[in-house]
This record gives sequence, C-alpha cells and structure tokens, in this order.
Amino acid sequence: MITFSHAYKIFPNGYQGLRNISFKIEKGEFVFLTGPSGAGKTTLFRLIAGFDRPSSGSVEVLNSDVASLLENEIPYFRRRIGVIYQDFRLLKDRTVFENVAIPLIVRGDSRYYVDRRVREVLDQVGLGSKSDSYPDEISGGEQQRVAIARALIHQPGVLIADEPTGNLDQHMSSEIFRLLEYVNAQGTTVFVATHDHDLIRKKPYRVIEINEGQVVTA
Amino acid sequence: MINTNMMRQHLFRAWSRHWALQMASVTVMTVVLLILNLMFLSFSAFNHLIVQWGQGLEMIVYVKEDAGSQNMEQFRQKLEKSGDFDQIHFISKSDATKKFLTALGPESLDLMKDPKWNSPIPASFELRLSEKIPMENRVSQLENWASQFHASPFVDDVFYGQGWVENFQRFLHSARGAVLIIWILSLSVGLLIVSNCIRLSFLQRRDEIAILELVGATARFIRMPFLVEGLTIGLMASVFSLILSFVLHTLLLQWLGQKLDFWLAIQQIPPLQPWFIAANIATGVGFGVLGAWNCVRKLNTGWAAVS
Repeated sequence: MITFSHAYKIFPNGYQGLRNISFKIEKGEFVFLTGPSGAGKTTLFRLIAGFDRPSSGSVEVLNSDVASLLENEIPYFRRRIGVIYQDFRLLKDRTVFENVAIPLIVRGDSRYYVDRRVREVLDQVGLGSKSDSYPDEISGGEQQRVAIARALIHQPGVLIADEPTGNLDQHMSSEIFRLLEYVNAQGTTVFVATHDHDLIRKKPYRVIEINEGQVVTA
Repeated sequence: MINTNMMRQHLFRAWSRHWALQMASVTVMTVVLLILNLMFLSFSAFNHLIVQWGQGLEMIVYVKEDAGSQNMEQFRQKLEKSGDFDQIHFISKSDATKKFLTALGPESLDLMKDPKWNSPIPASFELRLSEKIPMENRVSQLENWASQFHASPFVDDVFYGQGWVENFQRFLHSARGAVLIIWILSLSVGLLIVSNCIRLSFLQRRDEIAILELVGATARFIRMPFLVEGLTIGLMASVFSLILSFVLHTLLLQWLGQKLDFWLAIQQIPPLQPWFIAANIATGVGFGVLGAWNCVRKLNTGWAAVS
C-alpha cells in the first residue's frame, strides 16, 4: 500500500529532510507517525500525497511510484488519497456541504450522486444537520470533521492526517480519533502524524518514529 | 470536467464575496481601455481630416504656347486613359488670362482689347487625382506624373505644391509611427496594470486554488473558472469603456466644432464604427483572459497546497 525504500529528500539549500527512509504499510493498517518538530513528518507526508518527490530512492503509494509520476498524472494520483491537516483547510466562503462536495465535483460526478454521497458522509461524521453552515459558524472539532468528511468522500485507499488534533481539546481529539478508527474499520489505510504520546500509548497501533529525517522505529 | 453550473457558481461567489476587488479590476481596465480608445479615436479623427485635405491635392500643368490643339487633345486622352485622375480640366490661354485679369480688377479686362498686348499667362490643365488611389500612394503618384510631364516637349512647367506635399507625407509617416509606438506601449502598460489588479483579486482566493490542488483538481479545472472570470471583467470593462468613449467622442467633437472653424470637416468624422466596437471588445476580453491566465498560472503551480 505504502512502501518507502531508501528514500531521501534533499532540499535545494542542501538540507536533508529525509535520509534513507525505508518502511512498508499494508492495506487496512492504522499507523502512527511520531517524532519531534522538524523530524521530517510533514516532508514524509508530502511524498505520500504527491506534493513532493523523493530526491533518491523510491516511494510507492497505491502501486504508483511517486518519483516517476508525470505532471499530468499527479492530480489523478491525489484523488486516490485523502489528506487531513491540523488547520482543517476549509474554504470559509462555502458551506459545509460545498466543502465536502469539492472532491466529487473535481472528479466530475453527477449532481445527484454528489448530493446523495455528501449527505451520507456528513451523517457518518455526525454533521448532517450542519450542511448549510459556514466553517466559521461551527466549532473546531466540527471543522475537523468536515475536513475528514472531505478527505473520505471519494473513498480513498489511504487517509493521511498531519496532526489532526493539534488544534483541538482533549474531548474533541478523542472524538476525531474515534472517527479515524471507524474509517480504518471500513478498510481504509490510515496514517496519522501526532505528538500525542499518551494517545499512542493507549492505542494498540503500530508506530513509526522518525528523528532528524531518519527512521528510529518502524 | 467543468460544467456551466460550476462556472456560474464561481462567478456568483467571486462577485458577491469579493465585489470591491472585482469592481476595482473593472474600473482600472475601463480606464485603460478608455485611454486607448480616446488615443485611437483622436488619431483616427486627425488622420481623417488630413486625408480629406490630402484628397484635394491638385496639379497644374502649364503647356507651351506652341503646343497646338491636336497635341493638347492627345495629351488629354492619355490622361483620361490612365484613370489616375478624377478631374481633367483644360483652361485655355484666353480663359486663364480672363480669370487672372478679373482677379486683378474689372478695369484690367480692358488690356485684352489691346491688340499689342500678349498675355504671359499660359494655357494649363488642372488635374485632381482619383479618390481610388490610396492615401499612401497619392504623393508618389503625383511625383511620378510630374516627372513624366516635365519630360514632355509640350509642357512648360508643373506645379503641385511640391514642398507642402513632401512635408505632408513626412508628417503623416512620423505621426502614424509615433501613434503606433505609443499605442503599443500603452497596451503593454495597460496589460500589466490589469494583470496586477486581477492578481490582487485572485490572491484573496489562493486558498481555494490550494484546496482544489489538494483534492486532485487538474490545472484546466482550476484555471478555467478564473479565465472565465477574467473574460467577464474584460467584457464589462470594454462595454463601459465603449459607452464612455461614445459620450466623450461626441462631446469632444461638438466642443471642437464650436471652438474651431472647421465644423464641416469635423462633421464628416465618422462615429464609432462596428469594427472599432469589435476590436474594443476583443481587446477587453483579451486583456481580461491574459491577465487572469498570467495570474492564475503563478498561483496554480501544482504544489500550492504545501506552499
């Protein structure tokens, strides 16, 4: 599902963001990625989501080699992955419904299908009654649930979440994790970057730890 | 795939949420187009007046006393055959003398009754170039004919205001060149201003582009609504600039007619022509689309979501 093999990411200024990264995540796994700030977690996620390319080595996601993707293949590759950020990245001038519908509209799905699927996913994340609200009218936890709904609506093979609870309180964080576990239980591979060591200890999932761009534990 | 419903929603959102910036773009583009229009219309009116005067170019061919009427007739036939002249008017020696003396005063006509007096005024042909000859060829055609006439054994002298004609031709050439350069410069500056103005409006929506990239939208999907938005801004600006140009053009001509004494010539200046309206709309739409494209291609790099 996700395979890193001796992957390096060296930035134009010579900084080595990732060094000799190798690991494999199987289909349907729930994996935590942890490490201190600046360890390379976000760089690693960028490679998985096709927002950057490795300098050397290989990164294979959903049977596609990220390094050899052509420019015009990248958008289609991204449609197979769901991404969640700490800052939600919602469009403030669109309703919850419109935000969640974006991936399906981009894909060119029919209006009928979009309408049905968005309502279905909003119900799944518990936001069925908020579909006409704007992001500023709902809480942080609800905004993150909208971001999760948007990341899941097109049924991606992999869901990556970069510090999804970083801006939320304990209660909201637990809610979001329950949701991610539910998504994983449906068969989606979930890869979550987090600083929350308590949470990592409580959960039975595999942990990949990186530090200074290198894998410490896989 | 991009549907019209999505385009409509994009335009509605752009205008309802960012109306101030949209209006700023339309206003700036209207002003730029208006300046270009007025420059063009002024030059076109000026050119029209010059051409009107240029069309009145005449040539006088003075013939020798011993030319003989048969030779004159042949000469006239040759000119008629050439088709280069709209008017070929022969003035005999006596008619020319009478005209000259009348101009001096009625009592001077008595001179003609004096059998000893030999008039120094020669017979002549007054020629006017055909209107079918394009403006840029008129002077050279006139010069061609003048050199042919000089070579003829029956022609004494040729007059066509040589100095004035040469200055007129030189002036017309430089004026056209200067206006073209100024117009191209203004067009480039205008495009830059418009592009930056649209950029300001689009920068507000950088997040939208980043999120679309995040969920796998293609460059075409992301850019097309923005290009349509640029097209709309350009279209609105060109319509506004045309209305303002029409009003200002009419007012300016009226004012000039009252202030200056060539009202009749000014009246002949044509109003806004259909081709001009089409060119204006094409320029406005081109400005809008190019400005939008220039801006959105910088924002939609394919990696905007991580920048």
